[in-house]
Amino acid sequence: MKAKTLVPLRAIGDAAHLGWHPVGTVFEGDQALFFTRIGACEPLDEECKAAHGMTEEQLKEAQFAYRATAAGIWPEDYELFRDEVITGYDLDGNYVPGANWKEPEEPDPEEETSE
Amino acid sequence: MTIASKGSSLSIGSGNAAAAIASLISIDGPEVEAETYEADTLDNTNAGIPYLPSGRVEGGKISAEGFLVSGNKSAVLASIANLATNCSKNGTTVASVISYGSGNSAVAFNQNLAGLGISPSAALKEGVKVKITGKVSGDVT
Repeated sequence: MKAKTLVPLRAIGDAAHLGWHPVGTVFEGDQALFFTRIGACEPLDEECKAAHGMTEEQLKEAQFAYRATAAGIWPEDYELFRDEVITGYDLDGNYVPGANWKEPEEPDPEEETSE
Repeated sequence: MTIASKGSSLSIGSGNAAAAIASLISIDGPEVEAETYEADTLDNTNAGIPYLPSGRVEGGKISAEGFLVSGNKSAVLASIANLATNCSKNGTTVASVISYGSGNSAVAFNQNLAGLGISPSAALKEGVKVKITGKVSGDVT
């Protein structure tokens, strides 16, 4: 049973010296199944496809959810992350703009004074 | 020290790789303590009570609260199953990485845990919340 990573995974244990397992790293056995089920990997063979027990749509959703979780996205911001409005948060917890980010419009000062 | 906020995630090891299984709301780091003993003697005439290091180290515990990978039932169950598997590895060190900041920017701490405790709960319209505690081994590895 084999699967390959869609995102970098931190290397630990006897592989810790590598720092990260890069995108495309192939895992086998229980590792391949676990990483596929949580959306970090895509299955490479029929055995893994049969074992993960998800439809193609569910697999895509798990892969999106994994990217969101790895970026620490809170559920309230899932849609912003999905629409690429944000890519994550900075170290102060503010949004990091994504490809579809729009700067919030400044309030019109004339409109404010007329009220 | 940077205060971790939104953007933190908890990763649990499976073999030689760690994958994010939860986005975090809060993290409490380990309270590592070098143990001491009261080294007073009967003939000590000083007011102060002397203490000396015992040479033993208590690794403390970490705890965290967050949202599990919440793509669908299979992903959630896989996250819980992996945590549960690690909980059952009594006496086996389990590598755990908590990183914060977007992407791969930083690591808060990386501890070898002797055991894990989990307490998942479903928060309506929010996803599956989980409280995680981990006993840190006093042995530095």
